[in-house]
Amino acid sequence: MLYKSINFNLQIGYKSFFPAIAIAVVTSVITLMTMSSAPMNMFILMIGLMISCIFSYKGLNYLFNTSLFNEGSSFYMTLPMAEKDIVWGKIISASIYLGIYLVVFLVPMMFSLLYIGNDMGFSNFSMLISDNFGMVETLPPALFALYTASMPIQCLIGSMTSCAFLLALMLYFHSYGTGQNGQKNKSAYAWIIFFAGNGTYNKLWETLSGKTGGSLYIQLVQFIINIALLFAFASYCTKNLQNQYNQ
Amino acid sequence: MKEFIKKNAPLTALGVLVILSLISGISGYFISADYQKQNAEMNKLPWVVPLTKEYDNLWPTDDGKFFEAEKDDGTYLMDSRGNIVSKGNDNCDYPLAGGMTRFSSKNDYYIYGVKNKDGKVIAEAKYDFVYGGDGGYVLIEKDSRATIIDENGNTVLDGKGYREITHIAGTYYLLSGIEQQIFNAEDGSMEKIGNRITYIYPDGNDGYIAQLNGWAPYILLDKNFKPKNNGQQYNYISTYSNGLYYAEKIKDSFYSPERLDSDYEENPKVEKGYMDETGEMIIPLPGDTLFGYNFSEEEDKAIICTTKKIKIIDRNGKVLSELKANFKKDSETGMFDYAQDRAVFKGGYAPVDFGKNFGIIDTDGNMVLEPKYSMIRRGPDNCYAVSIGERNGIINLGEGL
Repeated sequence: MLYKSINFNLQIGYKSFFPAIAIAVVTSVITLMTMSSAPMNMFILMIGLMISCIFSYKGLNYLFNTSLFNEGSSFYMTLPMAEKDIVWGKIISASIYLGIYLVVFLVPMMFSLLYIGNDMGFSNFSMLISDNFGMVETLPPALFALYTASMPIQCLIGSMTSCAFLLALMLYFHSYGTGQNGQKNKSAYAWIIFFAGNGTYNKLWETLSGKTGGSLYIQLVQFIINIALLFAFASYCTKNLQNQYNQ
Repeated sequence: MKEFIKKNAPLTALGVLVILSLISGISGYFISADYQKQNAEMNKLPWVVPLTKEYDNLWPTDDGKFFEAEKDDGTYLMDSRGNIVSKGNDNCDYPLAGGMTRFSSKNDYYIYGVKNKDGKVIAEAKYDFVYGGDGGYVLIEKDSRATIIDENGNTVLDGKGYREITHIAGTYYLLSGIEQQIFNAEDGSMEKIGNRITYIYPDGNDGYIAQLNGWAPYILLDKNFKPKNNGQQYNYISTYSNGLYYAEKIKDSFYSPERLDSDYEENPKVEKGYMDETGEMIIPLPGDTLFGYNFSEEEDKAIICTTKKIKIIDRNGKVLSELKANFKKDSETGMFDYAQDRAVFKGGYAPVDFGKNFGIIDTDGNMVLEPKYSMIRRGPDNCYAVSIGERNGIINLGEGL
């Protein structure tokens, strides 16, 4: 059932996420075509990222708000799907969209970095990387490879935790004061707290990681806490949805 | 395929995640392996100060006698053995010419005062810049107002009314106001020189080089600050070494104080080569030459570079050896380096810009230090300050490798 839920959410979110991904693709192609002006081309990438972020807001809002509480809610209630599957389906499908989005942006960024790397020579480039990833100095190549291989998984978990946090906020603000007017305002509260909370949380880890020179332990702790938060938010969302749909 | 992806989107996403992890892991492996290999190779080198992130910058002092290491709490002065000579804000004295010393304020390292050769404070620590010291005169500047004082702290020239005052050499200063004058602090004499000179510095041959218009062209001046060689203008001219200047002579272009800045073409036609003091090109260099460094006084050899090669030439312009380089076509290597960094053989070695990175070669053209450093600068006693990434260190080639 979870598999079906993910597929279903991917399909209903497609229309809203499509413009965001299309902008990301166009920006990435422009960035790749202007590779010779690296790192200045990163500026185009950043502008594209900001614009497509606005569009991806629409997609997330559809998945976590509109499809659950407005016209979609009655349809959901009729589906033979457990609330747990609905919640995880939404979190995973949103993370898949954000993942595609991230990959589309990361590819030109990586190529631009490699271009800069080639310009400064590979040796100097690997030293530059080591300046930013302190563990290169302490870990043997095989372990460092394992660490870098785990980075996409870390990103995915981070993204899922953020999505779960947003869904939990949406559900909280919709269950809080039910029956009052202004659904939009309620989701606006959720968005404001999401941006503030998510931003502060990420900044906290960034500061901690910076102060410890990118310590592997700090990143491991962050990974474990992210997983714990993900399950906690998902569990809250499931219970909240059960309460709302059973009313 | 499209249908499969549509029906199996989660599975496809999982596949993409696995592929990304693999790419990321493999890249990580190669980066780490390269780092470890480089680290092992570098550890074998004769470090005086091993590569460290402890210092934000590490480079030789202007007089080439010490190394200057910048940290958050101020600048440390090091000798060629890596010993700290002075450090921090409390006691970071910087040697000026004529035995005088620049010292920093206790509250702010970048606020300076001056002590004379007897250690007496002749200017309190309240100045933004301190220059000179030659002949017992110092240029001190605060809030863009410069003053020249003597070794007893007496004002020799108050800079009021001048836009800028720069130290040329010895007791000579360039005063820039509505028009420009050469001021001799020793006898107080002043002489008009024109109005579009940016800097004047010694040419190493009892004369001077004047840079015009903020960037170029350059002209040669004699010891009385009169234009030499009919005021021939150069796109670039090096200091005099072993009887030769490296020059980029602009065809049919001569200096006149009345000429406007706009008369200078940005990319003029130039003739590159080594010329004698009469202005005659003794060693003309081929058209693909990017830059020529000074002839070494010890070896009578010079290093020149093209976009693809570093070449060592002799007095007759004969190429003795070649190394591979990788410069961009419009590269202006050399023109931005400080004099002590230039690829000139000294003690048997020369630090060389290979386009992407710096390395060190010996007089036979052998690579002594592979070109993988972002900067190499020559310090005292055949020691070199090297940088790679955010790391800085000092390497001693005194005994060779």
